[in-house]
Amino acid sequence: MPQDRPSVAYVQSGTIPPSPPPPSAAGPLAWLRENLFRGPGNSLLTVLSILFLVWLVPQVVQWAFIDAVWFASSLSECREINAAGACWAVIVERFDQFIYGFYPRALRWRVDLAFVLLLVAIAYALFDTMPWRRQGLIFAATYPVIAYWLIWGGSVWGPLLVLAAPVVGWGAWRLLFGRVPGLLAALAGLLVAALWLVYVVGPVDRAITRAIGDMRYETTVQRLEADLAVGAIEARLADRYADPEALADAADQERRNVERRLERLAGLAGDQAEAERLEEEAEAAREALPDTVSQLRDRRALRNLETDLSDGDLIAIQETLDLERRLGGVRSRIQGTYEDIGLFGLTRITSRDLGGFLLAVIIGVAGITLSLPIGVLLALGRRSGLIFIQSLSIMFIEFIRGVPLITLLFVANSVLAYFFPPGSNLDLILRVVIMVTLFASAYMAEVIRGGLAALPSGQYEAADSLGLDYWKSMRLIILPQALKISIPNIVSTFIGLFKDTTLVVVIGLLDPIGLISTIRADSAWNGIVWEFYVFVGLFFFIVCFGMSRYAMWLEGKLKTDNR
Amino acid sequence: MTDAAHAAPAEIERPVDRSKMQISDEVAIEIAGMNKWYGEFHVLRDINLVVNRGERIVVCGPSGSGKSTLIRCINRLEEHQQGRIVVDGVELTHDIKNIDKVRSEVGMVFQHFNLFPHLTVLENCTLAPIWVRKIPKREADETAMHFLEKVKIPEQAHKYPGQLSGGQQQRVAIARALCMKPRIMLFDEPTSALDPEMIKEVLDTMISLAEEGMTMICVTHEMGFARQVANRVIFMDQGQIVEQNEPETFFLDPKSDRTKLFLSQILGH
Repeated sequence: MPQDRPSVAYVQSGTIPPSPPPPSAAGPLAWLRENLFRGPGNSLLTVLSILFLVWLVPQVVQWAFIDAVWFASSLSECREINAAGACWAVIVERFDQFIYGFYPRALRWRVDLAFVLLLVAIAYALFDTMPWRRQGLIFAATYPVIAYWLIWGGSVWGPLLVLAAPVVGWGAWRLLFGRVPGLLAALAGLLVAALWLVYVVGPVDRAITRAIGDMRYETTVQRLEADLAVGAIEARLADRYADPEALADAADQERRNVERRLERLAGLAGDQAEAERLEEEAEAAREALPDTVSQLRDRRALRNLETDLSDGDLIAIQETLDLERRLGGVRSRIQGTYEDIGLFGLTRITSRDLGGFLLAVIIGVAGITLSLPIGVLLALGRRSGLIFIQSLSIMFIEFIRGVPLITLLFVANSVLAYFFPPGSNLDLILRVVIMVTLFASAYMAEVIRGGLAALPSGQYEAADSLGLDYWKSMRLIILPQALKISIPNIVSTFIGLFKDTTLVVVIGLLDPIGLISTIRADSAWNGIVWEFYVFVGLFFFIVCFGMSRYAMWLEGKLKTDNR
Repeated sequence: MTDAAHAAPAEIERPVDRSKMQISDEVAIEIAGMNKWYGEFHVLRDINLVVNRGERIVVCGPSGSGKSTLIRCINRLEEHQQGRIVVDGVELTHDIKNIDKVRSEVGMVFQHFNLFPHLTVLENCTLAPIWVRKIPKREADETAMHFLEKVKIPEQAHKYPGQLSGGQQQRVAIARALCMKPRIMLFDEPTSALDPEMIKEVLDTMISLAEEGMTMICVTHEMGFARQVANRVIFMDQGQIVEQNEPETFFLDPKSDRTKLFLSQILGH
């Protein structure tokens, strides 16, 4: 065979058996070279990073652990013990406040219970391998209402009526389904549920409490009067207080309390008569107002209006406002009295008492769980062929995305009340949750729209060609895939939302950041900076890192190709 | 012409059992005076086609001739703007109920399979029967396994589509469509995205389907399949049906110049 023309024919005679890779391609040495010393630049960076860590870590450990003071009653005491270390004593002392805000100490078990239940609900929502999964998911779905009731208290009727809202909405949807386009029926169902929440829940709740109060009125008065008999209270409290002096103190306090309650109960009839009278007067005053004024739904706004009203008109307006304010006062007193005797449920806690991580978790969890479904609906709306729904979704998304969250929070604080019927005094935290949710759902909608757009059109066609209707194909085919694609961005939005809860400090809510300045105002701890922010930062980091890790785990679990 | 006939690919060697391939007088699909535009572009022009039950029709033509659009109009993945399409006695209009009804009776197989990657093979097959036909899950599972056996991949039932080869995926797609017990099957270039090795397994599946008397419309360039299985071959160009005939005559004696040119191009080498 001539050397210059090698043959092209070749036949492999057997199979080459697989062999292990050489040490340079696998094992710890290969890993080191691959990741730490890949070329001179890479090696230099590695060495510099190691030097930086050697410089930093011991200092941090020294400050945060070795020199740290854990127990002291003030900053100066901390500094006396060890001036070089962190003064964690402030965190230890104020730990409860960081967690619960100003929640009454005796009722904190409600928050603890709500938190434990939250963990259970989250476990069911996030992991599909839990036992009793079906019941668990139903529990997770009702958890928000349960938690609201546990934390804020109040009668059980409110939560029960709220739980009925989805059923009512579902009924409306069921009634319309098949007669109007699916999305329209769904929106109608949502609207009916919303109207139920706004117009039915509060009044019915109050009416039931009132009815029970009327029923219990006589017996309550008798019981309280019996308490006032000499020695009655002492006898009742005797087994709780060993020390006679403490018993006397407690009995004194209790007696004052009983007297106050009796006084309020005695005043109930008078209050009701006054309420009726004020109502009539306010009605008459309202009718006497000039037309242009009475048409404005909320006359409080008039204070800030520059108008050419005459002095007489202004006085009339002022009088009407006064009457209405007094009416409101009497009404809330009546309501309070009725709650005292007719409350079937837990003691009511006001939002002012909530703070700290409790507040951050409430706003964060509520915002996260609500913004995802709303975002999905908005994303579907934006891609829908129905021009009305599409433009509505676009307007909402673009408006909310174009406005800073702080602005929306100020709106929640001052303006949002105008959009609800007069008398439905919506809780501030609830308003904040609404705003944070709307804010996050606008971003969520765009994130999910990205996922929807990333799906090949063949998936939509295959679902259509099998005869699946719009909602089924979305639920079973499109959304599972679109959401899976969007997981990293969804979780980013969640994390952003959770960190943004600290912004509520601008409207005076005492979240962990807000508490820092409150605690620093105490002269004992004035001057501490780092410890607070490290502690609060650590809390946020743990939660956000947890979300991030869960997302990574979920992505791996949902990966179905080449597994 | 005889050259072209000799050059026809002879991939399909097994004899085709024609005992059940009977064409009835019942009309399965009727398309009359149908026109469709994409914006300004007139993509389908005056299509008239009657398909009887049991017919096996192969639609061929150069790319852009509108053949895919035509069969996608039959289950309204595309909307037509003029004329009538009646499938199984139901006319396709804007009425969504009619559309869903037709879609559940007409199976469709796509060029790129379009399996649902987040569901297992079995779930792909049972999803529509459970959610559209409201069949109990157990029964749907049994039906799905029956058809997966028929397309010869029952052992893959619990894998995900991403773990299968192209040919296997396409056979799953056929099984998925069959699980709805459709009366008509549409194939939109089912072998065009496959490696040559895998084309045969898909064609074999389609042949056995034809042997059972299924009404089929296939957009394909597999001329061997057309000769063996089809009772009618339709040639489309520029949005029109240019020529249709029985396969023997169509391949041996095409009438129009465009058909001759097309046949010489796809069979000539």
